[in-house]
Amino acid sequence: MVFNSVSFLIFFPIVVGLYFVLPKKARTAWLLVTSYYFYMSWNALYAILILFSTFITYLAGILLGKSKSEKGKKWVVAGSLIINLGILFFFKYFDFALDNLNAVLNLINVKIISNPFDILLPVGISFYTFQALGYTIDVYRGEVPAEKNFIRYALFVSFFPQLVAGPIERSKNLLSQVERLNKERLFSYEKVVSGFSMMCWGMFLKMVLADNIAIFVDSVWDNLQMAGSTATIFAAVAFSLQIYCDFGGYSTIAIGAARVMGFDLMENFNTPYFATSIADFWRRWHISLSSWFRDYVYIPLGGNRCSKVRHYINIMITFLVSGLWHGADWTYVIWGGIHGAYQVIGKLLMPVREKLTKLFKVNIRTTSYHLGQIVVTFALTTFAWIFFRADSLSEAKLFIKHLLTKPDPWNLFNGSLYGFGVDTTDFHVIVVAIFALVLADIIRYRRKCDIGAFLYGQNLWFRWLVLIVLIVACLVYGAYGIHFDSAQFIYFQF
Amino acid sequence: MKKAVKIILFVILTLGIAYLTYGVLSWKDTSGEYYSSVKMLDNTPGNTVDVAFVGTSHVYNGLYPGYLWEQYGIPAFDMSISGMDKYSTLYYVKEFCKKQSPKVVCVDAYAFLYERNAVQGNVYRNMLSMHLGVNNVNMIRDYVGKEDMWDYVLRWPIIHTRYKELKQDDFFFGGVNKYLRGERMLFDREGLDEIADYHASDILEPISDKNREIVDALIDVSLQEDFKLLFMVVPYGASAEDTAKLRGIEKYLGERGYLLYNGIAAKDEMNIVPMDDYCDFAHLNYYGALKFTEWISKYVVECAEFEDHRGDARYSLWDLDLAYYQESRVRTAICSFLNKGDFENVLNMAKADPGLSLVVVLDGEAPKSVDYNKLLEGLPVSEQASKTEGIWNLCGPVVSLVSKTNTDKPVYFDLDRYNVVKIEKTEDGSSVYVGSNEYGKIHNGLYIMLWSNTDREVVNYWIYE
Repeated sequence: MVFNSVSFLIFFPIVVGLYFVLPKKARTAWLLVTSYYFYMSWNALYAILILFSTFITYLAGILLGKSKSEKGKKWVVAGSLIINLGILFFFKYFDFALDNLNAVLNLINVKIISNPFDILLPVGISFYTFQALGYTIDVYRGEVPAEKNFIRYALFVSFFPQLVAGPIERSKNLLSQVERLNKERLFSYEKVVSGFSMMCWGMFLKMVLADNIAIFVDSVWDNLQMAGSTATIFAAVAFSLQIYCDFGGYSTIAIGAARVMGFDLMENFNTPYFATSIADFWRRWHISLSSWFRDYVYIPLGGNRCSKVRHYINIMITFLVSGLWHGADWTYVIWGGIHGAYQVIGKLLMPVREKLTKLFKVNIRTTSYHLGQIVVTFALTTFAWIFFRADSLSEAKLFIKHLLTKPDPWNLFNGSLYGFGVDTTDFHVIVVAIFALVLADIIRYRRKCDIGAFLYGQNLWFRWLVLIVLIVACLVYGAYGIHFDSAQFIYFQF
Repeated sequence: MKKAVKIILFVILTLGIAYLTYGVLSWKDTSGEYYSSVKMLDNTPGNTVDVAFVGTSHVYNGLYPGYLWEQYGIPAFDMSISGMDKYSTLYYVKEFCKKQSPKVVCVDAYAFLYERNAVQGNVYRNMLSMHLGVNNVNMIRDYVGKEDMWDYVLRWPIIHTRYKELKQDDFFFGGVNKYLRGERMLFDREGLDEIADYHASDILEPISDKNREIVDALIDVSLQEDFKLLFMVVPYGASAEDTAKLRGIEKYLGERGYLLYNGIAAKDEMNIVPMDDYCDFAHLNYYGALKFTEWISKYVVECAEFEDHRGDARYSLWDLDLAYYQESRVRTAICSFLNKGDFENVLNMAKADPGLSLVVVLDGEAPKSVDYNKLLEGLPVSEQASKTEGIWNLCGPVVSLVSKTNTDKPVYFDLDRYNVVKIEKTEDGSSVYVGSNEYGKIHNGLYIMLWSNTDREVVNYWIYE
């Protein structure tokens, strides 16, 4: 069940409706049952896996709470990590590892190993595994007490709005809210309105923007041999927008859905393309994941509290692992590596930049400088996305080759871009929708509040106008229906 | 409480706007060009139709209910849709009987000759035109299958993409759908080379299980709803494969006590002339349709006791339909006279018909072959024309712009609320536009355009140079 489906449009009101009318004591169980139902709508067998992972990390938390010795605690954490990461490795990376091993064996003329398994990647496994492991480590560090109530803990791991594609929640935030379920009055008109607004905005980003842009992007990538610089540049920029709207849209719906039920999930995207540096980008993009890697990988490695060389190595390790988390393919690893390299190079070149700005008397406090930083950062992230989008390294190389070596500016003016799956009407719709996105992000950037809170603060007539326009836009311009791909949210493959 | 009221009002407002949007985007035709037999049926008072013809484009092209009304006062209706398949046939008959109580229903056996529609648009026409209900859901489930059925049942997943093809009729739907009886009239004579002799072979393909099932179901419906069921075939250039299947169907119908009224076999009896009576390889034109309608009507009138409803106010739609039927004949005759340059007859016929307008433009000098003065004889000046540059004339229901286009500025004239004629003089002549579409350019000559007020479209235009 995906958010932009009829089944979710039926499922969600029923869940919320009963959630508000059920006795307080039944709420946790109700949400747990519906979350498992939501997850099992993908594949009923997946429930076994998430239940097992939940049990292991729950048990780890209990043992950590009871254990007195530091050594014992470490063994518990290690055990939880090995088991959960082992499951993740098996379902997500086994085929990749085997393919690479066979590639090496082939080079040295040794017989390759055949794959005895037919492995299907359970949706959302990367997300809930990290969420559960985060809990284990938080209990180990003493940041949260072990949760003794299994039902509450199971709901923390499987809470449906954020189960399959994040945000990856922290136990400090979500578990404490789950614990309050049985005690507090939940219905808040403000949260319902604000949450509903977020859901409408998220649907708009996903259905109107991401899915329609995808048609153009996919067409360019599918016809790469015919694409010149113009088409590839447009496709690269378009993919930057597509992935933002797809993943950001999903997160927005998830946060909105949770908010309707009174939960405050962590922010996952904060105007990432207004970032002024790559480091700033990672403070704004997939915040739940980047902060998870910061807290559970980068800082334990030593962070920046070590030698410069070690610091740079820590950055590279963190980003290479982050790349690998996104997918079992070298393209993702390289994408992560590029971002790591950007940051390392950025740090290395910092003294040079400072000298140059002084030499040329560049005023770094001006809007133009700020805008320049944003444009450069966007260009760098867009370049990196090429590897993320490509199906293989060779495909990425071909794309870059066409981008750099086939200049064809006349194709901007002769309408040939419309030959890549998007006609003039679609193009106009996308342009207007991008304008709305930029406007929303500017409001977010300046007002420091999300679209739901912003709309709630407006007059009723304006709020209704915006919501109705968003709903009708999704109904009319959304890329859905029998002749559209059932385009999954990009991050679902993780 | 106040908040609950706000939520309810918001939901109502959103649903209302979504409903209006759906109205614009919804599927609106069953036979192309926004003609919808379903809408025509919606506009028909209940329990007024005595004879229904159900089937494919063969039926709405090949059968004129107006003939039965004109000759016998029998109110008939073409409940036919382009590419109607066998499942749609059954369910549209059931749906028809919800509001009507026909005495005779004639079903087109051509619908039984194929399993799937080759044209996706025809699938939409059949599946999406019927009102949502049990029959519609069952029809969709039977034809489309369970996996995709909800996209059709919900409509939105399919029709929302129509925002790219919206026309005036999507916003102001009505027009001929208010009174036509399901038919489409085409006067083109593209012709067929020949129609194979049905009796030249006796190869028979036994009726398929699915066809048998649908035929049995139709018979059950006819018994339940108490109407006489006839099976027919409108004559077309059937292949050997088709005729083999038709023989199989005919055989089974015989076993069940039913005849197949086979227009292919009776083509000589009807005096069908392939070169003259067809507008394309499969569809009868006006001339052929009259022959087939006359032929099948003989059998229809024998099936039941019919009352002559002419003069009854409840059946005024059939009078309007007949008027359109006659206007179409006038339109064809005018075209024929214009082809010959017989302006006297053109004006006489056009004056008598409020459904048609003539737009006349003179560029430079009239050709010597045209008696221009005779054309202008007796035409008064219109009020609008008198406010515009050039020389204007109006003749009764015939609107004519007679302008020596010696002006640098384009000349505009309203044909109706939304359609404007523009005549623009350039170095190489006068171009005539309706909206943004160009309809011809003349250089030193006479231009005549025939405009249908009913269909709001250009019928044809002629240039005499």
